[in-house]
Amino acid sequence: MKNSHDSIKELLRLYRLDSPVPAEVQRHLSSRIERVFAGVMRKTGIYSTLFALFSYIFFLFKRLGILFPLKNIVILGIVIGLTSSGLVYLYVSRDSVPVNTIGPAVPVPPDAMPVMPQESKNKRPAYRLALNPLRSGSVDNDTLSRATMIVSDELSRLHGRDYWAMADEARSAAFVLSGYIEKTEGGFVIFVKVVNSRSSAIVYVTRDRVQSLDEIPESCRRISAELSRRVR
Amino acid sequence: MSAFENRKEFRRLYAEYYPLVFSAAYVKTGNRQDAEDICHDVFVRFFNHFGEIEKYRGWLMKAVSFEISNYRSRRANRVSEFADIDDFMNDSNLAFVNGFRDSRIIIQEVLQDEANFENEREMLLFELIAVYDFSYREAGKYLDMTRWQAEYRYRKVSDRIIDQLRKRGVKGIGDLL
Repeated sequence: MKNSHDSIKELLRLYRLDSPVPAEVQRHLSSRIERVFAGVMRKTGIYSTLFALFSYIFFLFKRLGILFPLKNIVILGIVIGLTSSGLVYLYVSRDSVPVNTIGPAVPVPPDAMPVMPQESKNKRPAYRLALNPLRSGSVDNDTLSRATMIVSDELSRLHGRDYWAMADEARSAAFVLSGYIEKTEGGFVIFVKVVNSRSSAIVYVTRDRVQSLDEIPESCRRISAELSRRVR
Repeated sequence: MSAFENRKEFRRLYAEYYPLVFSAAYVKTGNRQDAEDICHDVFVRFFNHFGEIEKYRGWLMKAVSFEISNYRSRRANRVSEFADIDDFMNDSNLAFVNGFRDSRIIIQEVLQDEANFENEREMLLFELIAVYDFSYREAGKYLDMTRWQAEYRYRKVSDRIIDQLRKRGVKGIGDLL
């Protein structure tokens, strides 16, 4: 028994109420629908490149039987694009993270000494003043050493231990102190000079005269105090 | 409606109704190129008026008839040929339905009764499949329907038409066949 669908078609055919369009003509219709539309657009004056482009996509979807509206397709494309970009980014990022390929981790006893990084081990304070030992051509080394020590102690007392260091330890210090003690006919002369290590400009210079060795420590303290005020 | 929205709406209607207009023109002219030319003229006219039109299908079918008349006038040497074909069709229909003319009129009335269709798209779908012999897939393609949606819709309309024929005194399709 025929269903209602077939019966209706047969009925129309029998009463000559149908007008079948051959399949190849239907295919022709489908393939030419867009060109005829372009002709209509030109004739009516609504033709524009952008609209023609959208219309091309519109009819392409029709031909392919894609039912989603163009707007939804564009949104879907953006979502897929962003998602895939995110996945690619995550994949690439994962590859760039260093991976331990040596082997399993070795258990470390809880009381083991922490290993300090090499950088922090070598780190030194930025000294302000590089101190050269006082020199002399006429005074013994003990006196020179004692005088140098008095100067350094006085600087430590006034500015702290990080203010100065011996010259061979503080090559990048901003200032460099040098001086000498010489014996003269009437006593001793103490000469101290501080220069800017970058510009070589003299920032402090002094000369003090004392009459005996016992007065050298006091002179060194006085010079150090004055130097401390001038060179900060 | 903005100009762009206007153009989009026109494109949507064009895509839906083009197969019907083309098929109607093709069965009258029997020539693809002539059918395309008629479609072109009909849709240019449609664009210029489609803001004022309430029932697109009815308006388009009248426009097709009008353009076919123009087309015949332009090709005067072929007028007699067309006239002959139409006359032949009418005569053969009349001859065939000898004694069944009333049935034919009833069927035509039922098919043209808008009450049997939920909307113009449904009417369009039915015409493409039942009258112009489009497949479900092909007809659904122009109306944004899947093959299954098109078949479901078509069956619903068929059932309604059969009901209507029964109401008109036709006990079963078999009676007519």
